[in-house]
Amino acid sequence: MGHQSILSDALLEDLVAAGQADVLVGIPTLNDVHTIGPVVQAIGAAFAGPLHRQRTVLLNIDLGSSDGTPEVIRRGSRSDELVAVRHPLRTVHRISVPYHGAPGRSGALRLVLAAADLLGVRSVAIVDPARGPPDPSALATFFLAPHATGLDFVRPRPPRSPHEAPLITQLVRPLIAAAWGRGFAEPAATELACSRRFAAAHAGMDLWERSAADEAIDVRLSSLALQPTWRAGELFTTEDAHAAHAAVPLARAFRQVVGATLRSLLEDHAAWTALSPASATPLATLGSPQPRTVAPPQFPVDDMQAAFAEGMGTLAPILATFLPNETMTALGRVAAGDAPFDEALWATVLFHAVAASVRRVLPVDEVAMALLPLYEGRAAWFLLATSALGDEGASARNTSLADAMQAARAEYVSQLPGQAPRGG
Amino acid sequence: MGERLLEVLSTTVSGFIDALLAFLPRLLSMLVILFVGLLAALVMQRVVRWLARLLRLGRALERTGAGAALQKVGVEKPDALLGTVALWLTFVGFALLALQAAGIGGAETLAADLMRFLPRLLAAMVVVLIGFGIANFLWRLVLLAAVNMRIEGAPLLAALVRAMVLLASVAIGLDQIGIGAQVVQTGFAITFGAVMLAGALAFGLGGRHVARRYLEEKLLAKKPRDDEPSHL
Repeated sequence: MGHQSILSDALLEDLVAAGQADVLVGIPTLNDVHTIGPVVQAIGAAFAGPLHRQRTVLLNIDLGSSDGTPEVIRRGSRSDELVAVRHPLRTVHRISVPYHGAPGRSGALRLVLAAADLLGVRSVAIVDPARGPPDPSALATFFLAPHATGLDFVRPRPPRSPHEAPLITQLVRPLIAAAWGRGFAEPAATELACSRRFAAAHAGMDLWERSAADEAIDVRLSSLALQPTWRAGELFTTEDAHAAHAAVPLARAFRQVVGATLRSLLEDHAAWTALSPASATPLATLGSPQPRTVAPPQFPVDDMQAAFAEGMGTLAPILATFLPNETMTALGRVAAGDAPFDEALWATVLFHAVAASVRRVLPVDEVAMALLPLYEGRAAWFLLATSALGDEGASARNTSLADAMQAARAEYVSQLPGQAPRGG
Repeated sequence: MGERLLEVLSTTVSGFIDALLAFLPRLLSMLVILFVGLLAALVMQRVVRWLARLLRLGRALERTGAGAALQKVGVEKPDALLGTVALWLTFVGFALLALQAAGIGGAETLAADLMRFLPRLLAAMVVVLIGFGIANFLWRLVLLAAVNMRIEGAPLLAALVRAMVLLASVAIGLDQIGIGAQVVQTGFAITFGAVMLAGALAFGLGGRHVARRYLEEKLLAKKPRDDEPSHL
């Protein structure tokens, strides 16, 4: 309790009218008229079917749609289950398009978490309105997961080829997992389910106030959920319409997601450096892995390699402010095509970036921007090196990367002032 | 004749001795002031260096990128440079006081001029230092953004931004201390205007298609090309 000040009087009245609930489903929307219909129908079917014994509430927070999205939701929902909030863009402090395409989404998520606490729910879930048509029973499993399993935080885990989403597989996932000793396969996913305890603990945190929070709030929430305090898990789901194509240009998405990752590691630095990764409780897994039928996208690896070589030359004075000479030399050899961009080198680069953020050598966003050409080089090398190896070969490379990240983490922690070497 | 000569000599010598005796206390006080000035200058040097370290000036300059640029011109430690400047300013101030105490002509005017000049000099130094920091900060930001957006000629663009800001800060600094104020202002206005006009012509006429595409992408928030695969 205690988050009522976040909620407007009108929303507070609607929530009080809705009364106690077991499951709250939040759905932040912004011009999603083309995809929202089937999603709302599936939620309605889940409420009426597998969840008919639960008291359910659908909370739509519209971020300023001009295409009739709220009307579609209203038509597709039972009036006694729907609470709708118009949260127009003019209330958003900073209008920049985040990687998920919905400015103001972090404020919407916060409202959902605060409402969940007020309603005393057992489970609260956030649904992405742009996802493909979901199966109602799978949705119900997802909505109920925290309550049914005792987990505090659940991320969906759709099937993915290791050749997909290199920004996640090569950077965000291994870096966060190395820090906490465990990690979500999809740390930047836009859907989640959590317990009331998690919602209550985080709705009042100051993380929502920061201007950068809106850009990659999901990464921050993933990082928070990986702390030892929380019981976290993943639910294997079927394929979704997970963006085959970019919502925003790579440069912007990279700065937002990598910036949020580094900022998370910076803000929780004392916590993750103090724990031993070997003793971290593994994530719970719910369900079983589903097959991936969609072919992975083709990345322009030649362009990515060219961007790496050019970036290495142009950004050398900036990179040299946080990368030691031997790392710069090794990267130079990779850029010249004389050496592979192997896991050990990439892990070293990433932990130097963490160190630069922690020591304020450069502002976090600038560290992230400086990393983009290096990421393109690493991702291009990974995609080329594993293209002939199939999914197993690529997964093995990712396992090697996870090991290299653990070694780099141990090295980083051992060099912190006043810290005895630890890791594992 | 001899007596007359002796008398003149005696008067001259006694006058010299009187003058010397009259000057000696002033010489002594001049030396004391110089000695105290030297001590005060050394203390001031340490205080300024301590303050600079306390305010983490070196770190702040590093963060803006100005630290690396200062190293290129031979300034390894900016706090040491500030300390040295403080030492010499203090010592010169005391030296002028010493000259004044010794009764050396013109020293008073010189001291008054220095006292009037000092605040302007300090303001100019601060302006140039801040300009240096801003120039390097913008250089880094423009370079990173341009490389991330794959803009051709990113280093040139960033260098141009840095040069313009540096030029502006030096012009303001020189204007503060009154060195060629008119020439500096006019020169800056001409250079800045010429660069802006050249840029506007190049962007708006020479590269109008690029300009249009860029503005459309920026202002209409166009989504990236449909064939761009997601890295997420």
